[in-house]
Amino acid sequence: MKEVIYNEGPESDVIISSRVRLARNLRDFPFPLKMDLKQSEEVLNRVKNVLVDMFENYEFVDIEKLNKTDLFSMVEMHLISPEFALSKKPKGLLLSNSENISIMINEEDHIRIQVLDSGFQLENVWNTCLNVDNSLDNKLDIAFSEKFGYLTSCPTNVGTGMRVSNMLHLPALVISGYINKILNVCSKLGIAVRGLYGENSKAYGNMFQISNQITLGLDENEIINNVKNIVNHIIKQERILRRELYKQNPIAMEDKLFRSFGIFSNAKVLTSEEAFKLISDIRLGVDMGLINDIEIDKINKIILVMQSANVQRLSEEKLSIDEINIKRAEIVQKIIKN
Amino acid sequence: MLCQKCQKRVASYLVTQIINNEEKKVYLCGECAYLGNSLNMNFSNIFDDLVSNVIGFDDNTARKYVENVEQQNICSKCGMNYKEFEKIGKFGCESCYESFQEMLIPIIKRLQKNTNHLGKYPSKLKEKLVFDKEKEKLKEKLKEAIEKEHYELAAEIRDMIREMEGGKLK
Repeated sequence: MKEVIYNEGPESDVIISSRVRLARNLRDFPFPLKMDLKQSEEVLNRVKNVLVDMFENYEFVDIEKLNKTDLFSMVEMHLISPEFALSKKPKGLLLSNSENISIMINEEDHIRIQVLDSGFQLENVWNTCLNVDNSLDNKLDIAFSEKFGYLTSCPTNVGTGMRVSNMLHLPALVISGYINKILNVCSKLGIAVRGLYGENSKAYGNMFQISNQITLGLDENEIINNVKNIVNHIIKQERILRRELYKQNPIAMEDKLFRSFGIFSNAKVLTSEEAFKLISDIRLGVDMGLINDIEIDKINKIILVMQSANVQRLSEEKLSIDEINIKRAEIVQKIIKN
Repeated sequence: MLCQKCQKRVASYLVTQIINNEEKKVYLCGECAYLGNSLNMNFSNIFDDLVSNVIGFDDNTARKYVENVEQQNICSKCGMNYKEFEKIGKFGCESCYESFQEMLIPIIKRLQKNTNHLGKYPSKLKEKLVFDKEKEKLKEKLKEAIEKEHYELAAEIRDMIREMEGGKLK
C-alpha cells in the first residue's frame, strides 16, 4: 500500500479512513451467482479490456495466480473483500498506482469500484469514485431499471449500489461502555456498525466500520450526508469521553498508555490480538498529545502490516503461528525505530 | 414478513385455513407451503384445511396448485427459483427484479424503507431520458398548437421534433 492510506487525514484522531464503493452489473449477463465459466470469462475480459484501455495509471492484477497469503494480505489492506479472495470464479482486479482505487471484476456483482483514503474525507473519495463510474458507464451497458436504479445481486445494494463507510477508532467509547448506546442508535437510523473487516467480523483494537444500510430511495449525496452526520456526532462523543477519562485520573491513563507503548516497542512475541490492543492504546496516546515519540502515519502503517497474512508475506518461508508472532514483533519494532 | 411456520424464510404465500368454520390467514414461505402439503407433516392440518377445504380440492389437486404457483415463481431468463432466492438472498440476473417484483416490493420496503430510485443514472440512459422528455414536451406543445389552430407555430414545432430525431440518428 502506498502513502495515501498511511497519511494523516482530516479528523485523524478518531477517523482512520474513508471509503466508498459502488456495485455495478453488465446488462445481458446473469449475475455472478448464475454465471457459467464461459460467461464469467466473457464478463472478465469485456470489463478488463475497457478498463485497461481507459485507465493508464492502473495495474491489472491477475488475481487468480496469487497464492492465499498474497490474497489475504490484500484483504488486510482492505483492497479486496474476503469473499472475493475465496471465490473460485474467473476474476480480476484493477489497482490504481496509488493503490487507493480498486476495481474488482466478478465479485458478488460484475463490477465493484472502491475508493479508499485516510481520515474523514467522504466527499473527495466519492468524487473520485464517481469519475471512475462515469467513465465506465460510458463504455459499458449497465443493468439499470428506472424504478429500482442500478440492479445488484443482493437487494440490500440495489438503487445507488453505494456503500459509504468510515473506519473509526473509538477506545474511550468502548472503555466507558457507551459504545452499545451508539450501536443501538445507529441501527435505528439505518446505519450499520461492523468490525474491522466488514460483515460478521470482530472489532479488533477498538476499530469500527460505520456505513449506510439503505441504498435505495435516497440520492448519493443524501447517503453521504447521513453517514457524515452520525460520524460527526460519534467523533464529538469520543473526544469528550477521552478528555473526561483523562481528567478523572491522568496518571493512571498515562501509565496505561505508556506501558502499552513500552511493551509494543520491546516485546519479542506479539499475538495479533495483543498487538491490536496495544496499538489502540498507542494511537490514543498520540491522538491526545501524550505520546510524542511516534507519528500517526507510522501507526497507520503498522496497523496494516502487522496483520498475519502480511507478516507471512514479508518472510520467505512458511511460518507457524508462533513464528508469525515473533516476526510480527520484529516488523513492528523496525518501523518504530526507523 | 417472515414465514409463520419456520420463522426463517420470507413469507410469499397468504394461505387461508378454515378450522371449525373460522377463517384464519397464515403467511408461509414457499418451502413450508409445499412441505406442509406434500409430506403431511405435523403442519399438514393447516395446509389441508387451507386449500382442500376452502377451495374444495383433494390432496392431489392441492399439490398441483402449489406446484403451479411455484412455477410462476421462476425467473424466465436465468431460471432462478424464488425459493432459491429466499435461501441465498441473492438474485441470478437483472430480470429477477421484474420476475419477482410482486414479492420483492415488501422485502425492499423492509430493507430499504423505500422502493424508488432517486440517485444517479448511467450517463447513456440519462441522455436518452432527457431527450425523450424534451421530445414529449414538444409533442404536447404541437398538439396544443394544432388544437388552437396556430398552424405556423405547429409547423415550427414539428420541424424542431424532426431535427431532434435527425440529430439522434446521426
